[in-house]
Amino acid sequence: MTYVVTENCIKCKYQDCIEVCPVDCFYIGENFIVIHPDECIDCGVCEPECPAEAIKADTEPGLEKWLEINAKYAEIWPNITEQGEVPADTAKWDGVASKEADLSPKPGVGD
Amino acid sequence: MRKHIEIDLKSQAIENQEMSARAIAEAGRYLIARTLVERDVAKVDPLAPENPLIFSAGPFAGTNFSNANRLSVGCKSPLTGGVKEANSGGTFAYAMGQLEIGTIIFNGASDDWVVLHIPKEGPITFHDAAPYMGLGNFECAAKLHEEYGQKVSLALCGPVGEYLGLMAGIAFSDTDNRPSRLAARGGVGAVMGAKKIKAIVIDKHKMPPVHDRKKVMGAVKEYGKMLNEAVPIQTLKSTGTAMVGDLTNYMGALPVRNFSSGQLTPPDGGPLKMGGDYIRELNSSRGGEISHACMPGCLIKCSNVYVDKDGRELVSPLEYETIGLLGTNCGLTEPDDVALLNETANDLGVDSIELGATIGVLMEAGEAEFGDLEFMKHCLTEIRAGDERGEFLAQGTARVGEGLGVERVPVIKKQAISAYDPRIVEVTGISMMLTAQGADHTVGNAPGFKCDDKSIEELVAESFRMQVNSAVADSFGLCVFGRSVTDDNLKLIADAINDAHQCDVDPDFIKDIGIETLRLEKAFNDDAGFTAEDDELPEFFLKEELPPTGQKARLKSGEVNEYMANLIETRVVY
Repeated sequence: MTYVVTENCIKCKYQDCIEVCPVDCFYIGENFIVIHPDECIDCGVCEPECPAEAIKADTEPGLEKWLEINAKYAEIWPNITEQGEVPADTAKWDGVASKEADLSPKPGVGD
Repeated sequence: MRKHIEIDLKSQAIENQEMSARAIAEAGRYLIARTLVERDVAKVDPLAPENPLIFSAGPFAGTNFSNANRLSVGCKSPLTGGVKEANSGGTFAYAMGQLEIGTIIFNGASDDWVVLHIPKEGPITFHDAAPYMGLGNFECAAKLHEEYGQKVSLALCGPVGEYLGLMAGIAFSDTDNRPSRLAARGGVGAVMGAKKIKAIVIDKHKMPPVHDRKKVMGAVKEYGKMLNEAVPIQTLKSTGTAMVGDLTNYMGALPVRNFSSGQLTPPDGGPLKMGGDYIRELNSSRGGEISHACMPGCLIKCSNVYVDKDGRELVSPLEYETIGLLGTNCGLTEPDDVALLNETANDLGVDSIELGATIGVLMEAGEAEFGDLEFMKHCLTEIRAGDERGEFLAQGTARVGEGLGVERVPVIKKQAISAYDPRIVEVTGISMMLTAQGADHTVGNAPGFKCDDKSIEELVAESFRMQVNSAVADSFGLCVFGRSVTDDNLKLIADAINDAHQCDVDPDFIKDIGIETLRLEKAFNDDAGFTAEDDELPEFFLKEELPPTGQKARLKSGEVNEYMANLIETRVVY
């Protein structure tokens, strides 16, 4: 089991999750964050930290696609262990439906 | 900030006090011993309202500090009549920490059976427990989750606790909401039952604020790194506690057929089916989980989810001491059989060690052949029914043995001896004799320590060292399985406590808490009327040669107590 970051993180990128991860398994893209499924220890501490409620346990139904997206980008995006700059328009994107098309494949800035 | 909550069950009055930083650090088993001594409950009837039931979470509860979310449950034990701290993993202490609660003390007794709800916002509420009465823990948990949702952790009084059976523990939710983590020993479930609390539901929330989050997170990661590099931790992760069976069988210290042999199968006779290697391979090939965390964030992950040949879950976890007492001690040879009984024991909310030792004594009395699985299932049916026979069995090994006139009854202070024959695993034997808790291996376990070339004085010194370090772990919400790292890194623990709570503790403070816990627990038991005679091993351990080693016990209460008293006084631990 692992936790996965899902659609509502796109363009939100609050990053509250990052600092509480005991195993540093977050990887950052231009407008999205992912969890490395093989590194996540299922502790679940990040899940309630996300203001956008975008982090889910992979045991929830219908997350196969997001698990694949997390696994794919965790291999190519840089690792991030501390909360970086939060986009100025974060709140505007929180809760906006159908953001998947906006997901940028470009890497973000790690640390 | 953390709260200390006192609940008066009769009036339903609730008092909240803000805890000082030092009070947050003085937690768990230490807090329980101190509170029980301060409140002068040594002479009260353990099932009377005057016996407080204490839940204490450690200073890291609610955070992702590895293996630091243990819950200490305390009261005067109705099984032993002495002090009791029963310790459990799971998510209850984690939820307490998230809600910034350090301690909850349940005082008095409710007039009617209740379910308590501790929400993340608003007051604690009391609810009618009628819909849940008599239910096994799994059905009860499912029903409570229907009512309160999935983001809660539960503490359950099972059906045996309801009728005050003394082998009843308190069941807590694991990370997947199974109510299968038990504060098992000493009859704490009967105390919950006497208070007429059927269940406690606590909301899960998010990581609580800490004083210096960056530094605490740094400690979390540093500690995690050390755990990942420690060989004993990695062995626990890969084979779970069942690996101890391979060791004790090899040494001839495994309880077999009511402690009449120390070995199930010769070490050269193929893999031990009740051992860690065999169980891991079998469970893995069936699609089970061989490594599972009982607490959020735990990197040790010694737990497992054991499945049957069709891949269906039988039990989680399947642990060594259950395999020993409920398995080999009753003459069983197949892990599937133990798993089946273990799941029923979890549903009833009873201590699988006490249960196994009790059935072993029934077999000793000639009620069934060793290895009679159907008889064992029937015993559990009787215990579930709670009829006259079931109530008798649920009083545990010592009382059943006495009732049936059995000579070979493996108990100390009326609590069943755990899966370490004291004729061979002498350090653990000394710990089980001397602890005020009754025969509890977790107070100072050293199965791998070579004993036969040591003097009694050397063995007591090692037991004392283990007892202090275990009391430390139990007093800070830490799992004893992290001790291969924590014992040598008390500064890291002290610094992390200080960074989390703006406190001022040092490694000496931590070590002193361990010694002080032992002193307070003994003082409580002295006051309750215990004497050195209560520390003796049952006579058969001293008289009978244990096959295959032929060893008799050489541990006598007078001698081990003398060395121990000297060590407590001089406080020489390392």
